[in-house]
Amino acid sequence: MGKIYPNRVGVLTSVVLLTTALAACSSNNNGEESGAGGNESKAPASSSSASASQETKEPVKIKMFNRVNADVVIDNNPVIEEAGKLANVKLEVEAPPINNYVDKLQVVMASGDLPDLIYNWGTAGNGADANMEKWAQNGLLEPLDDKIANYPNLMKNITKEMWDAVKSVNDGKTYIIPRPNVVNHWGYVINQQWLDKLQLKAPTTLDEFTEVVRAFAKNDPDGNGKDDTYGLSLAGPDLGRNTIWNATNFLTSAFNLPVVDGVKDTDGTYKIREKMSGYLPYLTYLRQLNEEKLIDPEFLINKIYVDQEKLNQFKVGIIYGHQTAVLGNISKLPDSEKIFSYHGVLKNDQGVAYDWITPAMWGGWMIPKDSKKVDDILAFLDWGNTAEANALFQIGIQGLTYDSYDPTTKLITRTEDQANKLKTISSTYLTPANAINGDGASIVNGDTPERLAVYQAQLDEALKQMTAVNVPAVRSPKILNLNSSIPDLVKKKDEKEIAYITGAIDEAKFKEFLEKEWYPATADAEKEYVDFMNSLGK
Amino acid sequence: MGIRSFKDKLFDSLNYTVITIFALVCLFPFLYVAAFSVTSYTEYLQHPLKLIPYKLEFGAYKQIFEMPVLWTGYRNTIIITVAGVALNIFLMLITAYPLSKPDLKGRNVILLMITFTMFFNGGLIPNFYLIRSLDLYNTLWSLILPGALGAYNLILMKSFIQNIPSSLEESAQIDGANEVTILAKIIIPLSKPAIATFVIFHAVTQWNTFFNAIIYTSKRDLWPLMLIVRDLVVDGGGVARDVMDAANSGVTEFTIKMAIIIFSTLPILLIFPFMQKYFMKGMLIGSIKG
Amino acid sequence: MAKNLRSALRYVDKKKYLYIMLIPGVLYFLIFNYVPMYGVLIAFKDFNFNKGILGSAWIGFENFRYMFGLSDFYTVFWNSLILSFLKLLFGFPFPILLAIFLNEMRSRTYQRFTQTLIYLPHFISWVIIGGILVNFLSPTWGVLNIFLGQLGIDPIFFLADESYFRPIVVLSSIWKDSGWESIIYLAAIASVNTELYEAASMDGAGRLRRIWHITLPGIKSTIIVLLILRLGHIMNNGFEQIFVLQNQMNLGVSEVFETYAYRVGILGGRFSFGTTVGLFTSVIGLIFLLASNRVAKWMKEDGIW
Repeated sequence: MGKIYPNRVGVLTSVVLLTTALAACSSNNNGEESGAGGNESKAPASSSSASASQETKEPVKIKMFNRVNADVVIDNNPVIEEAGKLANVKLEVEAPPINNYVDKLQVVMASGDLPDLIYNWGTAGNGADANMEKWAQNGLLEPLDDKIANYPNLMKNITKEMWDAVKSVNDGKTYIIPRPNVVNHWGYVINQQWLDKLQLKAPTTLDEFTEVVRAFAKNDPDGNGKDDTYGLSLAGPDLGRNTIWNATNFLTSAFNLPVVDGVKDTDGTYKIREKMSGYLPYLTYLRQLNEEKLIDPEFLINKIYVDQEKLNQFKVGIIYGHQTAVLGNISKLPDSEKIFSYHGVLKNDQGVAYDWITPAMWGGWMIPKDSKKVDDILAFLDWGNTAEANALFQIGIQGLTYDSYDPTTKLITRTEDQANKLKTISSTYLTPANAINGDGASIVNGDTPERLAVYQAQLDEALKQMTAVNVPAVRSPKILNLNSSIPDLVKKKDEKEIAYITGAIDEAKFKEFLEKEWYPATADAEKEYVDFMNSLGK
Repeated sequence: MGIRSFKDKLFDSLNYTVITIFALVCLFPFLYVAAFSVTSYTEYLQHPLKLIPYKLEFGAYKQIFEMPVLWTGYRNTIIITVAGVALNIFLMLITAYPLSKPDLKGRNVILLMITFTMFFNGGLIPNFYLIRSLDLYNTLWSLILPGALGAYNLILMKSFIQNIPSSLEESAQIDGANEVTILAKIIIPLSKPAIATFVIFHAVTQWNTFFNAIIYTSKRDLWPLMLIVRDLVVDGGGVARDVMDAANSGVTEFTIKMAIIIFSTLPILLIFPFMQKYFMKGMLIGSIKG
Repeated sequence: MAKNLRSALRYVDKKKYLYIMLIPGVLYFLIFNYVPMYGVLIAFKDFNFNKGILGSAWIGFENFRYMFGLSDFYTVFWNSLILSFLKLLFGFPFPILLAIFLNEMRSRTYQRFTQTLIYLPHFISWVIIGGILVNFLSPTWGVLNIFLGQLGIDPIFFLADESYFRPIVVLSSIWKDSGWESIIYLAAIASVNTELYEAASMDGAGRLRRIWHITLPGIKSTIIVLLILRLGHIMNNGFEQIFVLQNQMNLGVSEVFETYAYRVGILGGRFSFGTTVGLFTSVIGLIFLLASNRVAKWMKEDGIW
């Protein structure tokens, strides 16, 4: 009896220890492999070209890690297969869910087994965010400056501003290739039916705007006999930013106040937003609107899309939007194109309506360091930046997801089945480039000539009225990272802005905060920013 | 029981009233979602508070029945729920029983070690490595094993078992039964309400799994239902763009989202009614005699 | 020495079935919880993606120094604590009462019916319920304010007013989760010996006395264990609920650790900040749990161990 048991206990203990040790060991190894993604020895282009002819080289396998919506089925996907055929690659897509994409991305980047083409989508719309900088710094990403010049479409479709926008702030190199997006001409969306009923025109100046907003709020435009409508509402993405700065160009333009950094003030110099000449007047204007109850009382707390809901529920008459917003809204409210209309930003006191255009990007593509397939991957992306590729991913395959397509008018004819099929095999999330020369292949819900005509007319009108200003990307890290360096003060400033607008504090107190606390704390961020802008020589 | 006194009747009516009110208030959000999943959006706009639509509109359900991703999600979720619950209950019972004995040497150390796991977690990256090293990556096991045994429920189960009068165990021991027999013949039958509770808890947890799938799988056909639902419903996701003929059917993004929620939640709601019979009091003691 | 070892082994042999039963569970925790635990070290390191967790540079308590240096940290700590405590104070007894009173219902069928209804809100996510609540409380179009208007009261902007935030959170929490949380108490009540009730009513004890003297003592140990576990989670408030009800205007009281970690960590690009906050709240939680367990034992009750 006594002989067997010590063994058992001993064995048990060693099994436990061994399992723990083994598991820890293998985790160690995973963590310490350097991030070389191109370990697989697939037929590399260079070695096979010796015997094979130039045209029929073996397709290289490219593993693409992308952020795609859940409707799309990735396995046996005809669009992905077709893309492979056209670009002569074997395209494999791994697509984590879009809502927690960055979590998975972080894990993959730490895993030591990197895919070939990695999409980055961070809080900076261009993908060149703090994450990318960290990965570049840790040596996981391939610098691409020397290679990209060899690829004509990359050079053509991606503008110099875009390339500049994604250069690393640490060493100035290019670690990410922007995914070009449709250029958004931010403006406002207004309830045209209400305008017609009240016999007003869509406003182009601040005074007209105030008049319309007042009429919407006071004159019962929805005719229900109740005093429950407001002229205007705003909405915001999430914490860390006040709604008054979220795509509110249409209104701030009247004050010569761009919502993005990188534009000079009226006196020809660069300043931080809170010092610009239009800052206080804009806030004061909102304060007045709020006092007179012309603006939705929840305008400072609406979460994203809530303003759109209120517009659709005929509670407010104006929200921010860009040129495809009206057609896009058809998914939420049928016949939107007959109810709402899109217009450009308001004119300032000189009669100029500035359309501040930032480089239009939607994330970007990274390539792992020392990848053996860099050229193949770049060639694939180069193909991805052609109209052919863009059309493939956005509208699908003829016969399968549409019957006919006219690139000039963007008119598509398709049956309902084909439209449903398209949803399951592709979407704009899948595109290597979402726009060619600033334009997508199709417009969401733009599937009748009438709708496209409405869209085009409104866009032309807006562009005619506005003066475009290309705003360079501000690669000055301090001013972009205030949320990390002085989060408490940023929060306090947001609170003060709100307090001033709601009338909780007066102008003197607000200015006191700015001068005593905000300006000093942001002084060196501002200096770095000004120096950077001046160095661009604009 | 005897004649009910006035006090009793008063108690009863108060009881019924308060609970009924609370139950109705609790029913409301669910009713809201269900109602708007079958109401056309235009009607919703006109009468946002009306819970019973004039015209039932099933277009949203038609649309989602044709989404292949939702069906694979269903399959995966059902598998991981059934397997997960079975594994969980088994592990819970055999682990909680020994721990319910205060005089077992080493018990306190083990309990402390288990409690610790409620608070300290390595985070995404080490867990990812672990699943990879165990070759569980991209398998449904990666959605079943992690979380198959949790400290919180284990501690509760142990507490339940501790409440079982020790006299029953002692008399069984005198009769010569070993601990395994005791567990099977005495503890388990007397723990039916507890077991039922943890079946419900773990079934719901497994049904709602989504985050593990993000980290531990790369193939979409392994995604559980709730992951797909979140991506479709929570904004940042998107569903049913390019909705044709929305004007005719009144089916918009909003309606579809509501329908998806009902579609994915209805089955798991039935788990409690199924388990309810185990919560009937007093059925137990009588079943074990001597 | 040898004698101790021998008696220890004899003990193990006597209780061998129990120890064998423990093996799978303990193994499970070792593999799935302890093996990955080295990840908490991220809070003490400057994480390098290439070098992995163990290879990254050690920075000691720098992350914690940054966190404690943020002036908002103390506000966030206080907000988290107060909110959680209020939820505990009002939200902990409610499911117990629910279970007891449900149990007292005469009609079994109606009892089962209402039991199912009250746990429904648990299944609808906060995203949806939050949306409903925001609508409900809207100063212009919300049902509550319209109702108040009928009573001649001016509309109240609930979600913009810091004094309403906590009650809203506590009440909505109770509404959503009480039914679910009552399940475990129902199980506990079902395990109480019915003979005790019969004996008591034969002695002439009325409803309330029976509840006080039999039901409550019968489920006391369950209540205590749940209370201890709850205190261990005192720093947690649940990200989703707070996130949907929080906005730029009530941030002074609504910012709790989970949302704060999100704002500074994810929005501000500080990766290890989330881990740092998590580690801090975990340690506090563990201390609370150990302390409350000690108190329970001192009061001669069964604690967790």
